[in-house]
Amino acid sequence: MFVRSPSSSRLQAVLTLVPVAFVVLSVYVGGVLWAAGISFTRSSMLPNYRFAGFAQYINLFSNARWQVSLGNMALFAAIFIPATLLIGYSMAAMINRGVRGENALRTIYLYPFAMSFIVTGLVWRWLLDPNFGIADVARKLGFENASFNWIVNADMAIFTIIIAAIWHSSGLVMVVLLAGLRGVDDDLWKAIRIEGIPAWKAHLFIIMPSIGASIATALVLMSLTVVRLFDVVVAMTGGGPGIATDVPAKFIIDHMFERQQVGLASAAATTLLLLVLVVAVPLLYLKDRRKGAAR
Amino acid sequence: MTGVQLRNLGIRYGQVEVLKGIDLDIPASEFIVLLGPSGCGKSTLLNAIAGLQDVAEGQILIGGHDMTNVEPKNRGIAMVFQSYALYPRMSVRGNLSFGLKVAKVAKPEIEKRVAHVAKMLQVEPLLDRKPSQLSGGQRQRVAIGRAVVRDAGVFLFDEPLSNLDAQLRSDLRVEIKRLHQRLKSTMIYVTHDQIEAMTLADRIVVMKDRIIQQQGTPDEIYNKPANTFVARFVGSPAMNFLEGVVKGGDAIVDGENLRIAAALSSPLVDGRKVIVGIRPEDMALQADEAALGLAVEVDVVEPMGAERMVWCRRGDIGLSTRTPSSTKVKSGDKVRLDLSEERLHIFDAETGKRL
Ligand SMILES: Nc1ncnc2c1ncn2[C@@H]1O[C@H](COP(=O)(O)OP(=O)(O)OP(=O)(O)O)[C@@H](O)[C@H]1O
Ligand SMILES: [Mg+2]
Repeated sequence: MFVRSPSSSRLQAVLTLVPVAFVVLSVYVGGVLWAAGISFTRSSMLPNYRFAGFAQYINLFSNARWQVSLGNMALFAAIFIPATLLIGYSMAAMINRGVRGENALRTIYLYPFAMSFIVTGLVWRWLLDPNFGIADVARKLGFENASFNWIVNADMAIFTIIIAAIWHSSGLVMVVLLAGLRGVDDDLWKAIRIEGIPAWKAHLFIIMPSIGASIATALVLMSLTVVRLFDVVVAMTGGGPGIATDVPAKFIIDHMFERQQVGLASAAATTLLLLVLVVAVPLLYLKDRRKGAAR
Repeated sequence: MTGVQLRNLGIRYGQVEVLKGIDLDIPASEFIVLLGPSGCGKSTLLNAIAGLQDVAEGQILIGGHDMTNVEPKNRGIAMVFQSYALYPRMSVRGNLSFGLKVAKVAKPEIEKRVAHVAKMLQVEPLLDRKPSQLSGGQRQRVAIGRAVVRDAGVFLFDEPLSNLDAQLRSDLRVEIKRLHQRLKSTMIYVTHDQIEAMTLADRIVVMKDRIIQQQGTPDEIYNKPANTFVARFVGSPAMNFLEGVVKGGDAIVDGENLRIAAALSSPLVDGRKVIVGIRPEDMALQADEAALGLAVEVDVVEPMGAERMVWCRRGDIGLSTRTPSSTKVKSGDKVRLDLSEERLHIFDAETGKRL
């Protein structure tokens, strides 16, 4: 009888994957490398290959709009990630305790995520519109002086985007963490009750650490949302008022296609990529390590 | 010292009644084992004592106080679980001390207790390891340690040894027994393993079908089973059963007269249907076909070292017995089984109750 040896089937698998791997490498990595390369040239409207050293980067970081974009992204990350994690975890913990109508709740919470970020942005734009949104409803309910104009206020507009993004992502984080919580041994909860450990301590010191892999997954997802932040901004504020809610992805797209400064946009894109690597790689590493330890 | 009393305890999951009318009196310092098949409600009962399970009716008294509606942490109990339930990211030291810290026990006192318990359970070298770096046996030692550190009057164990392999299981069994002798706490231990029950218990409570079937010392449970369920459940291999009808003080089984008078306190009326039980070790196998006793044919012989298990047939009835390895029998042999009369167990055929 012919028995396929493990090494021959492995070879077959490798051979099958080679074309795919080749395409992936050349298109994705190639694209990234090309952009990185362009960022060191004088390209403006069209790519060219005259070497310019770090000139585009120097330009970039002295660009006020880029500085605002980066600042916005940092502020967004600093509020969005902890808030979404907290809300998502609280909802997951609540559902995990076995509330009635769990399936309905799960669907409702996950629903925002099923909408595209564009739709989310538009919905919140209407909700927060000083003339037609919540403020208007409040006035009609008799609160004559109600006004809520954050979305048109240069200092506050970014927070409306953060609120919309939290609303959009909490459900997803909840589902990811709920999957983790479901894996927590019943006996662990019993041990916690017998020792009389208060709920917040139990969650913080026992339960959260034991679902480390799920939390790392949620963090990776949220980090990606932060870096890719674009559509909700376009839909809600278009980067305004002025450039008050500009973000790096919008900066890149605007400069790549509208302002036709390919070199500057590539420098920005490369910077963003480096940022992603700096944040995501440790997280992925952490996730793998946690999984390994749980075994 | 803390005893535990259960008064007419009933527990329901929704409409389903899982336990009913449980009355149990556990004196202080007793080691009591709850034994029963899977799904009979052992864990449910233990959880109710711990306060992890709501009680539909009845009362739970611990140390003479009504604890039916008291929070688990205030019941003066400690618990050990089948899956260890250690706090995953904390060191062994953290696991032992976290509950005490939360309960605001003074630091020197915590250190003293942890050191003492670590020594007692031989986990001192492991104090700075994480649970993921421990073997199953070590994890369970730590889990037991976490219970001991609480200085509780009552210990609850829910199948603590079920996840361990045979060797570790017997090691830890001895360890738990030693612990009981040392601490003299009340221990309530759930298992479906009758060896654990027999070796550990001062008293065994056999449960099935929502109720307590029998409670007594291991000796009583083994030698005077209250009904056919207990008789079949305890002992390995299980007790043999023969159906018969009483006639002239004897039981007629498959055409043979069995003397059952010696096993009865009072004689039975003729025509009463009974079940006659006999343990494998209470029958002597006679290789001589002409000897006295029940005529059977050898089916399977299982060598077990010093002894052999011999599985015999008589028509539809299967009977197992033990013989010394020196007895020469093989499959297909016609032999006789000599039943020792005073070792017979007589049960009512209808109710299954011991007569
Ligand atoms: N949450 C629950 N909801 C409904 N029924 C339950 C629930 N938990 C347990 N039961 C039922 O209650 C009965 C007793 O369960 P329990 O866990 O106490 O059994 P057990 O004797 O500990 O069994 P095992 O030896 O398998 O651990 C079982 O029939 C089980 O199906
Ligand atoms: Mg159980």
